[in-house]
Amino acid sequence: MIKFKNVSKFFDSQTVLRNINFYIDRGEMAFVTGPSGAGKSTLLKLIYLDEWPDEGEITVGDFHLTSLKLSRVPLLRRSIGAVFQDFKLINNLTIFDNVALSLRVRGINEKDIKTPAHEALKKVHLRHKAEDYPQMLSGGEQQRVAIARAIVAEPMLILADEPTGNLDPNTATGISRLFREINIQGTTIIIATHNRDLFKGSGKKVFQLDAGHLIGEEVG
Amino acid sequence: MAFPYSIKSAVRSLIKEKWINILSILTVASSLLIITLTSFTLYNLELATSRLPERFSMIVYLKTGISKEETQTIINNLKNRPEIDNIKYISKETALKELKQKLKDAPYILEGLDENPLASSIELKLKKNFVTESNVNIISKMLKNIHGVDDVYYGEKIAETIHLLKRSVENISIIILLSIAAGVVFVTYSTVKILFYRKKDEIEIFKLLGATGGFIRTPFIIEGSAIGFFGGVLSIIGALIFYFAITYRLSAVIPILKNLVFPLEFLIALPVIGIFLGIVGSLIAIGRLRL
Repeated sequence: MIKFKNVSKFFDSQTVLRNINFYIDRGEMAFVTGPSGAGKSTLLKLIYLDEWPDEGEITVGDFHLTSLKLSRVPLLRRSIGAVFQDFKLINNLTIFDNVALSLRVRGINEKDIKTPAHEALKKVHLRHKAEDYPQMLSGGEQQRVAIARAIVAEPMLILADEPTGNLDPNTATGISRLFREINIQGTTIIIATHNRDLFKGSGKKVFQLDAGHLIGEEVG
Repeated sequence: MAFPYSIKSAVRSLIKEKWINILSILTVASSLLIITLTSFTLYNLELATSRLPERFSMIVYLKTGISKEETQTIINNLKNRPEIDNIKYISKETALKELKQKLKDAPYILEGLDENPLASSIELKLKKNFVTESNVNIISKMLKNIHGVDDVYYGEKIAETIHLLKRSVENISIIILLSIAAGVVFVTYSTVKILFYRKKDEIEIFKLLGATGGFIRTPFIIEGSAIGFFGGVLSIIGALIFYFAITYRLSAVIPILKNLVFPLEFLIALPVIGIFLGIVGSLIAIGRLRL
């Protein structure tokens, strides 16, 4: 499903990721952990091509990213649901429209958008906030909207960058449970986090990054 | 299909950014009004100059003492020439009679004339498309070579002026039209560029969610064409005010204005021109998106 082979990434002369190799199978849930600046976010960005690898090969499903044409990048991104650390919600759109955007960019008819968007909001327990705007919601609620937007189109893969970074422990636990429920339904999930509570005792793969190097793989 | 969403998104942006959009619409409307007035001027000058060649004539003076038969041969010869529209023979007696008629207020000028000093002549009207400086020169030379023709008179400068006037007006109008059209494109370009930068974060999110270039561009193109369309509609109103001001108000003071023709078909084209220029401006503003 996701394969990194000798992948390196540099910013100017600085090495951000060096010689990364790993494999994550379809339907798996894996964690990428490490201290700040270890390269966790960059690793996720390489998967949805917000950054391009300088060396090595990356495969995501049927997409060979190293040789991927620019015109196919939107197709790759549509097969991924991304949850960003800063949520990346659009403030002048309602919660419903933020979630529906994921379907609209896929060219889905307006009449076929309402039901799945409301379903996704229901899964994150925010159905009642559909007509509100992002700034009216708490950090935890905004994070759940971002998750609803990521899952609404039922992508093959969900990437989450520090999904509990700004949340209190209770809300973080709720978000963690939500990801596990999504994973049980067969969606591959990769979560970048420095919060060990998120993967402790989960029985899932945990990749440890430090200063751009993959220093270990363990089971959480 | 994302098109309904693109329209909704463009309408939302038109309303949200109303001041910049209203300003652009007004600028486009003024520019299109100038285009209309230039076209109107060009159209009327074209009409006026197209009538000028009809007034152009050449006078062929015949030698004194040529016989009636020779005169008739010259007339027949001229009648068969393709560039000549019609001819009128003026005998020396008719010419004197006409002269006397013209000088009836000062008959002493012709007193003391023992014999008629005027020559018989033939007045030629050329076909409209032959009234150019070079054609008239060639025809004049040809006429002078005809046996029995003494001299040829024509308003050389008139033929030249007609052409020069037409060409100058056309050239100036084309320059004005192109400059104003470029102005309209620039206005929509600037507006869409500003709107595009204002929505930069939003566009980044669209890209990360998998939006194509078309999905991102379409609302901006719709917005640019809407600015052009509304500018066109407003310029119709301006042009109609101008038309009624000329026809009903100014023509009472300046009667010549009554002769002006205002083709109302021009007006229908304005929103279409506005949309076209708006789309061109938007496309240049957005350019190629890096996904």
